[in-house]
Amino acid sequence: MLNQRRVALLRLLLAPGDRTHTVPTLAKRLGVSERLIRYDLAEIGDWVRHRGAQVRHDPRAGICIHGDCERVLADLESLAKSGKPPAEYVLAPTERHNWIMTLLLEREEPVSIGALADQLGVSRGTVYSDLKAVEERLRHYGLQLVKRPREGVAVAGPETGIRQALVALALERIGMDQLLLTIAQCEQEDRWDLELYDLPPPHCFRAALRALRVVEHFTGLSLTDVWFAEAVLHLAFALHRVSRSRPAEFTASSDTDPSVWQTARLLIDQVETISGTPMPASEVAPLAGLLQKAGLRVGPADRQSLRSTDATPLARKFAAIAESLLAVDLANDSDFISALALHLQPIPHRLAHSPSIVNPLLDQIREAYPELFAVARRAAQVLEQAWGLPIPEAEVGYLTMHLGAALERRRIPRARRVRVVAVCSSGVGTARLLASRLQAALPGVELVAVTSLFSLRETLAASPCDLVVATCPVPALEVPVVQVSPLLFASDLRAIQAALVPDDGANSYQRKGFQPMLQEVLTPELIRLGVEADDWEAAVRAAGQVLVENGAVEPAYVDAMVESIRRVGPYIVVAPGVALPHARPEDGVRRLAISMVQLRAPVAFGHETNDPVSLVFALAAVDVDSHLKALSQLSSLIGTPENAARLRSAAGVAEVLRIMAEQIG
Amino acid sequence: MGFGTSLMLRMTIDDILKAHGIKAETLAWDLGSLKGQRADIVVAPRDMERHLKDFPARVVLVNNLTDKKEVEAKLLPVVEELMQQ
Repeated sequence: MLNQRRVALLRLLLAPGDRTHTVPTLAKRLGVSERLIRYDLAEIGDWVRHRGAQVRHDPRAGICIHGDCERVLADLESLAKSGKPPAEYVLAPTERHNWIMTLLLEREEPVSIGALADQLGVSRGTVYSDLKAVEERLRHYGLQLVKRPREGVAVAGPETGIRQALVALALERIGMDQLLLTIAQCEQEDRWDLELYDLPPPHCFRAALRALRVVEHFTGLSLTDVWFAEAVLHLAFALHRVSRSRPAEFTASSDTDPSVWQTARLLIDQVETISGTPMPASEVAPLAGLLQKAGLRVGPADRQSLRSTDATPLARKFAAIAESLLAVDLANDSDFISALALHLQPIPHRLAHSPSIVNPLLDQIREAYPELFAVARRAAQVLEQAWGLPIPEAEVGYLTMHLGAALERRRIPRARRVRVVAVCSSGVGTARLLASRLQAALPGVELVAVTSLFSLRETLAASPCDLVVATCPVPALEVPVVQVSPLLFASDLRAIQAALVPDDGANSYQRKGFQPMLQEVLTPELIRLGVEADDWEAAVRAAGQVLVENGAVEPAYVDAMVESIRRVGPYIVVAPGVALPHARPEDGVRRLAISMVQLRAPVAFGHETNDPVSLVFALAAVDVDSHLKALSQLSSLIGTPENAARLRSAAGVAEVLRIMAEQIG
Repeated sequence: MGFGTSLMLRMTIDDILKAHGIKAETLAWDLGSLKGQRADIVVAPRDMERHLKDFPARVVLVNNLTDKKEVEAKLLPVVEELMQQ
């Protein structure tokens, strides 16, 4: 037999595991004695055995459920949803009270004592004493328990009291943490995951949530998370009850603040608009009461703009997804949100009426921003869900441009424009071409001078700058130098952007700049297969040479990599068979890159456990963070032994790329 | 600051600590910048052992920097021990 605590325990054991459970840790976690845990585990064992699973005490992995966990979970879920206390679950007295109370609150007609006793599997005497407790609780909400001879018992009292009781019961059962989590998930995935018998259906929650977000945006309504969650619950119940013809009774406006009253009205209006369920004016008062209690503060209400269909919430959802994929902050970028919202607003109409949208720049966008395009396509799924229309690639292209603009704005602080000098050895012609491309592509850059290689020092003395962008190799300078093609390809732009980010020390890891993915850093021309090398130094030099040939590093960088291994040791053999030689950015890195060399025959680096090495990835980093994403992807790639083995035996560059793509997705 | 192996190791560690809900300040240093720094725990590749002899911190040595299981098994007991002090 399960009970409340055993269900909690079982859920803990079924949760995707990072912790090892032992009897003492479980006892501590649930705040009960170890003896009780042992007893509970035995009962759980019986319960899961009927479902093709067992409780196992593994000396290493601790206590866990083995076998058909899916089925156990599914049964546990339906236990929570059913609303009927199933035979194998013993309700605690308070659970029984809550269950009876919910049942009575939701039904209009009386329920007989016998029926309650049957359903709960307890005696009529127990039901009678339970009803006393229920009656006591109902009184808190201004409700009475009415006993009708031969019919049974029912709840009587105002609808507002019934709602308050229902909200309180629901909150007690699901817990505030779970509610907050579900709301957060719903905002990200537009899906409401909490379905229990005593809760309104998901569409009510989604409508409530959206209404709150819309009104929040337009009125500056600001609630703490907990009050926000409570308001969601309240509105969802309001909508649910109204749609079942149980509107709140009319109450005269009391001493509610007029602006709070106004906000409550907007919310009820919005719920009506979103759900299509007419909401009576009497719904305003109880909501206003809640908001007043929450200590709501409101800014000036802008009723006019609320009337037009606003795409801001959708833009925010789009931003939230793109944000999580790109690891940059977009939700707080008001320029991005408002521009995107403006762009989104007419789209459903446009898509519905002229399905063929043309984007003349589509091919260029895809080529220039492959990763952003992929992100835009993923994030555009929320638009598809919201509108019920497929989003064509041309449209994804426009969305990509919005993302691109936001990222470029972020790279370059607006307060101070970055001063750049452009250099070209063959004269001013190509430098001019470079200059115009630079200014078009990076509006935050101030081009202070265009010069030739030989007059560079003079130019720099006359006009100090933050960065030198050159179409040719440039001798070492005080300022960073980025070597690019005069045509300024996407990879060049990224290298410039990477160099533009000021290094602000230890915490720069926290800063979320644009971080290219592994495939953009470890590009096909940087992969060499079946390379011959006699020893570790030859292997490192081979990988370094690939970087040199591709203009990513100066030849001196290769020496620095070798020197560092000589000095410190073979610490760069990061995993069995895999070396990650590198030196520091100031040792001669021109742009972020990682080369990959697969050795025909493995060589020893002198590493105690990871020798011999057959894969060498030479890393050229320009700063401490722009390569983080690529590095983490590389780490998970080689941290998976099967992948490392496949890379070791890969016969072609295409195969390497495929393995990378499979791992990273 | 570290740029390569130490960053890679740091990301592995961050993942592990996050999965266990342990809050910690993690930094990636190369050997050159380690001197004069303070830390409770230093996690390093095994072959750096000789360079870390005099460093006043608990030292955890790992073989495979990309192997979460190995790092986890070696690091967590030390973290838990320190947290109990």
